[in-house]
Amino acid sequence: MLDIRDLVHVYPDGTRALDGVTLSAPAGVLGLLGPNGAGKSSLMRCLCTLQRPTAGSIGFDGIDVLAEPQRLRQALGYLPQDFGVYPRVTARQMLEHLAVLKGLADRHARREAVDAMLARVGLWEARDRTLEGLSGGMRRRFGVAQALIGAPRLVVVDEPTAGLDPEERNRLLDLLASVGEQVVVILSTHIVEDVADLCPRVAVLAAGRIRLQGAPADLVAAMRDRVWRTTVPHDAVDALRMRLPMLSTRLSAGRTMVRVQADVSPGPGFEAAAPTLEDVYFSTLAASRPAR
Amino acid sequence: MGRAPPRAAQGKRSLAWAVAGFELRHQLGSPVVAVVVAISVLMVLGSATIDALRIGPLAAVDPPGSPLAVARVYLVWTLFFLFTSMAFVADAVLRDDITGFGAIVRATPARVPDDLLGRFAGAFAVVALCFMNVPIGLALAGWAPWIDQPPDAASIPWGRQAQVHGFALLVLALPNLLLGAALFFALATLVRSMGAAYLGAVALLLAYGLGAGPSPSSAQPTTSAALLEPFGFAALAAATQGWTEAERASRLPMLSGVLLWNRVVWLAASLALLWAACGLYRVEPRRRAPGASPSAPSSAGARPRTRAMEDASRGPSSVGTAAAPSFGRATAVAQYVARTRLETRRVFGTPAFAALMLMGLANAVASLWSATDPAAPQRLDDSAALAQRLVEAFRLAPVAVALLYSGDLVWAEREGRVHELVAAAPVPDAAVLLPKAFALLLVLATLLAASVAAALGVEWARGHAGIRPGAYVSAYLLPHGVEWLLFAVLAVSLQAVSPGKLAGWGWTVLALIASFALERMGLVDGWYRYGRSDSAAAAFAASPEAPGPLGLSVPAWLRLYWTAFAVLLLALACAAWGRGTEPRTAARLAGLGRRMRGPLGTVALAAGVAVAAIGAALLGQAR
Repeated sequence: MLDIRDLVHVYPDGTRALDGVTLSAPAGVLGLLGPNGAGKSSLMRCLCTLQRPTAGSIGFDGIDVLAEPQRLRQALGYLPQDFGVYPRVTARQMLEHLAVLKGLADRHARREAVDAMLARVGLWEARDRTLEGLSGGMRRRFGVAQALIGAPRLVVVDEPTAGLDPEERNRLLDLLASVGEQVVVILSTHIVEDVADLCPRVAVLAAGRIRLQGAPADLVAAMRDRVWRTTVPHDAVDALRMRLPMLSTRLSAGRTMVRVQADVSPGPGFEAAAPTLEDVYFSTLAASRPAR
Repeated sequence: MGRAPPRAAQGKRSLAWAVAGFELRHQLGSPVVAVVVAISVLMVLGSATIDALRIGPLAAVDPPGSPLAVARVYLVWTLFFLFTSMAFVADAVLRDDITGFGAIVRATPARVPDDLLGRFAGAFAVVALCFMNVPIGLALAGWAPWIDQPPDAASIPWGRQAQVHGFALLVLALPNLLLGAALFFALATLVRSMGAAYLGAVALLLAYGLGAGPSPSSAQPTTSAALLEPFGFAALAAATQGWTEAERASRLPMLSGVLLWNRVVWLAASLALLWAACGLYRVEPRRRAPGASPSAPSSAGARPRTRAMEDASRGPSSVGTAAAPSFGRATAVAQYVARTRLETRRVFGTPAFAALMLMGLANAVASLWSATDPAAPQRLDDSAALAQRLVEAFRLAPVAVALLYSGDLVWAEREGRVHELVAAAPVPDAAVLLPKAFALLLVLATLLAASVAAALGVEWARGHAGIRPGAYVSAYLLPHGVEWLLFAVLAVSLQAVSPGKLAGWGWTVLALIASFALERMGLVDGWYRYGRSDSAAAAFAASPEAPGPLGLSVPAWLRLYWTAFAVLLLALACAAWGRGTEPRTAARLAGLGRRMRGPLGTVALAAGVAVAAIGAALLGQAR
């Protein structure tokens, strides 16, 4: 349904945020992973018609997005990474306002849809509170509510779980998973765990390019027997890093747990580890960096 | 409060200075300072050289160019700078609460007085630096190319000028600025809200204006009045009481007697206010908006069971079925109505609007009341004459509202970081900007209606027999109300093509000044002075009320001409504003052609043709 081809975006200061992104996504949740500065938000904004790419094309369900941005907007639900609130406006008033903007013109149907959505994201009790007075998690839930109202066929959510506690995060991921059964959901994040939990498909974006895409299980399976782990004193990590392609390190009880990528055991003290999506992600990022 | 000082006394002193230095650097780096500087230099220059801009209390009190006149200019400008003081000192004390940085600052071991007084010192230094525009503006007035006689202050020799300006600055202006800054600093510390602080400041100034306000021409103050009037107008009048014309033209009073005591009393009051601010300061974070709005329904907590809700409880199917959007004409109308309603409510809900409206109405009612006083030598008892008086007394309010809210409305989404939500919604391009213009026009229409109601109320209270509401339409609403509405459209359009709110305000103020300058240069024809229809002027002077094309009067045609021009401006502004995240004007303008290919282009073309046709017909008539 979503088809992005050779998308390039260069900012006025010369920064090449997107460098030939090609990506397709059927119905379901696509996890878009990438480190900070990878170009995820630029891609989201191009996709949501908020900025015009320098080159390339975006198609969605028969719509040429660059030629007909308004048609795409009629099918779009968007939760930006960061958004503010109007002062002195309640959650219900604001959601109703956004519902009108999304084409719910009939007052009665709109009120029902708004109330249902507030209940669905767990904001019913807080519906008459001003948005300024909501907690960070509640405000994020409001963001999800406004993205989902108006029956969108393409839902784009940028870092939706940033700053949420585990309970809020689980609730939100459940909601996105349920929505993703019907429509295309693009979940942009740098939290690998979110993608591993939720997405049947994942793409890794680094330095403006898609470096890897596929089903998480397949990607993880491809690394089987290639991940090794050991525990070393903290001051031995740098020497090990010089010698081996290290995936990740984690400090625990004064010692450092190290995960390394190698086709055979790197040496004594290493044991084979079950690969994870995080290993896949770090491996992809390491491969995308220019050799030193 | 109650936090232990981290270092010895020397360290505490340096902390306050460090805070002051940071505050000074921070505020000087803000574009607000640059705008204040630019606007105040222009205003001082304009008030010194352009009759239309001359400030009331300066006129015809002291001999032009005399030391006393210069001193009074400084005094009057300290009143104008009260709101500048308010902005800078309130920002210093409220910034942490507004930005959410307060908890970090309050968790440091810095003592409250060090932190607070440091902030005040830095902010006050900025106010004082900005006030230097008064001597700079007065000096520039000496070289203004459009005047053919020496300005008031430029006729004094340089040495004497330094003495006069030094006295005016050190004895009169700086203590006044300190008093205003300390008062507003304490007020902002107490109320902890920018809006409430502004409202309080307006109330205090109104109280001052109604009570001990400057009345230089009727200056025979008692000693106690001279002592208690805070800004030194009465003390200066008392100190120069009984002076001959020659003395008034050449002397300054000594800093002694009642003038000295007035300054001492109010300097002490300033310090007391700063001490009070330290006592009023609360370390606890400001309470966020209360949990429930006043309109919280009685059914709070009860989950509604609607069909849509049941869909919702069943899960994902509701996303597709709860309410399907439609995108026809009815939806577009609903979107425009919803956007306009939201924008209008946003203006009406701000304390600043209430303050501006109340100030304007108070000034208008006071002016009309005195003009209709049975004891007044030139009493006005005709509705048309009162409508003319209303124009003069009220004109500042609509212009200020249009200026202020054009910026606030146009940039509201970007400042509130909701622009991406609105831009990604399936609304027409024009529905992003146009409702802001509609909202501003509605607000101004309300303001004008309130002013007419106030004038009719004054007439009724004075017992006028032949009240003619129609006179307010023909002499007030049509020529001037329409002009102010058109000004609002101009202000919105300029904001839309500016890179930011401050720049937009700057362009709009420049447009106002340009209008004054044109008038000053004798260029007063209605067809090139935006929005003007009252002075069809030179080209039509032979018979301004003679019927023009199709039997309409020339002013009526001018109103149509400028309305069409405003529609053209607005269509271009809507196309230029664009949507999305692009802040740069040039990049937004690059998409103008593409956006003009739809209905906006049609409207712009029709408006352009109307402007050309009416303009040609009017010029033909003039020849």
